[in-house]
Amino acid sequence: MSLAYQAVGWNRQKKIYDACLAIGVVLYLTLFMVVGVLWFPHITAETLLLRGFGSAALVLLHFILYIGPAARLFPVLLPLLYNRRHMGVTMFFLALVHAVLALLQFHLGGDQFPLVSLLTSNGDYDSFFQFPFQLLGAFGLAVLFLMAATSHDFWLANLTAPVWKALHMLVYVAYVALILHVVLGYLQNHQAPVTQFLLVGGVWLLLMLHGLAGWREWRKDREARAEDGWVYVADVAEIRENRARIVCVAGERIAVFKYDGKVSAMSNVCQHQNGPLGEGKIVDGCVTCPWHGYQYRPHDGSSPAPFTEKIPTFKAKVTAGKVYVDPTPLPPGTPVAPALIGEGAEVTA
Amino acid sequence: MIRSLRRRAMVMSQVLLFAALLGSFIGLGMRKKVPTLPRMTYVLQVQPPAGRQIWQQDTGGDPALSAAVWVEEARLTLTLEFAQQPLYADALVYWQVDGAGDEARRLLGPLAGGRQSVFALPNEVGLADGRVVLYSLAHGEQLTAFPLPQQDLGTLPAQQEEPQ
Repeated sequence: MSLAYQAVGWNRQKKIYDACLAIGVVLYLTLFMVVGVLWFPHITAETLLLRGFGSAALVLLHFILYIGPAARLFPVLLPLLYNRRHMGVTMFFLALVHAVLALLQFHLGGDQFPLVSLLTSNGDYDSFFQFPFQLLGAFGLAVLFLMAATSHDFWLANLTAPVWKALHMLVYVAYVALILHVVLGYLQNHQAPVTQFLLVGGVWLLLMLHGLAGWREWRKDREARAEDGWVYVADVAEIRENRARIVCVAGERIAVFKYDGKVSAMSNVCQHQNGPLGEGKIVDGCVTCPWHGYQYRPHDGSSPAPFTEKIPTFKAKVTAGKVYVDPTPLPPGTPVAPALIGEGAEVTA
Repeated sequence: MIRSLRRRAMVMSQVLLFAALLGSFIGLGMRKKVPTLPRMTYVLQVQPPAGRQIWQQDTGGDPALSAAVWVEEARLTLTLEFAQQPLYADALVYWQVDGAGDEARRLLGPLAGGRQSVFALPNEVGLADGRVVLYSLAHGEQLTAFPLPQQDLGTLPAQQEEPQ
């Protein structure tokens, strides 16, 4: 959470995250170069660098796309989500180096400008196997550039969350283009089973993770029914201290938190990137989004000063050890007195 | 609204990932089988040299090149060995009589994929001074050249047996 726009809002976690990322990339490239030289002693340095940076970008892209669904399935992985945008920008630069090296190696020596050569050297657009795979890579890189350039809260706020989200969903379109770039390019002439297995296995794993996470989300979205204007959430004992139970009502999710002998309800959607607040916990008296750490006070859905984010709140009550919520949303930032957890007493917020 | 957006995103990602998987299977399963010979064998090239080495010279250059001529049963063979893998584009090897124009060059063959190349030499090398020329077809320029003097080759069986 940041009050003013900065290039990077550094904190200790981000520094550790980025250090691990940099070390990982350097280790991968070093290992790739050493193994490449030992395995293919006649390979040229240009080709080794080209393949090293290209494969590093593709591996990192897979890792980035795994994090989202994997963190939903295994919350222990949530810290990986915290600074994923730096991973994305790193991946873009690795892909950019790969593209520049490819232009230098394959398109610089001709009598055409390299980019013109890239666009005109292969015109088999009506063939699947001879399709100019370089253009698929160029398209994927262009999408990754758009995403890297807008990977900042400045753009999230100015483009608005729906537009920003739609733009960043294009990563899957880019992913398809980049997979076909590899399949119709490198793998047409290199038939090592290990490479094929890794590529197909990587795509399959991503598909499975998304499928499992989607199935789990679908189960969560079973509508709760209102009786007398109140929706049953859970027994008080079923909600862990400083944690929430999520209930789905009228097409939206409500997060009901238990803390300090009280219960408060608010929208499950973080204002930052629509993160699932109900999967977070209360830290320093504030509901903390598990994705990027945005915080809201449980009784009014407002971020603590000087921050200005606000989310809708809901009325809650505790009756005979059971927690209920009124499904009518209140305007963002509306204060609602928390429901007190009394022994057998009916307490209405 | 968020829930509908999330569902749309989930369906979109599933469809696109399935398309990626399907494209991978089609692309890998139906590709053309490419022969993967470790080294090409050219018509003009001969087997590795045998017999007696009658001439040898380190011609320098980058990478350093060592040339040698071998003789066996009236057949002359030229070997070119680079210190490192040469990165020449479409390199062709010629023998050329001194003083003759480029159009009179005799093609010995293309450089092999490895560090060493072997070529059969024409009998004329024992009759006149000449030079070996490496020429890049891709760049249209001479890469390097070195002399192959007649007298250095000594009295060649090929020369003795040449019909008059």
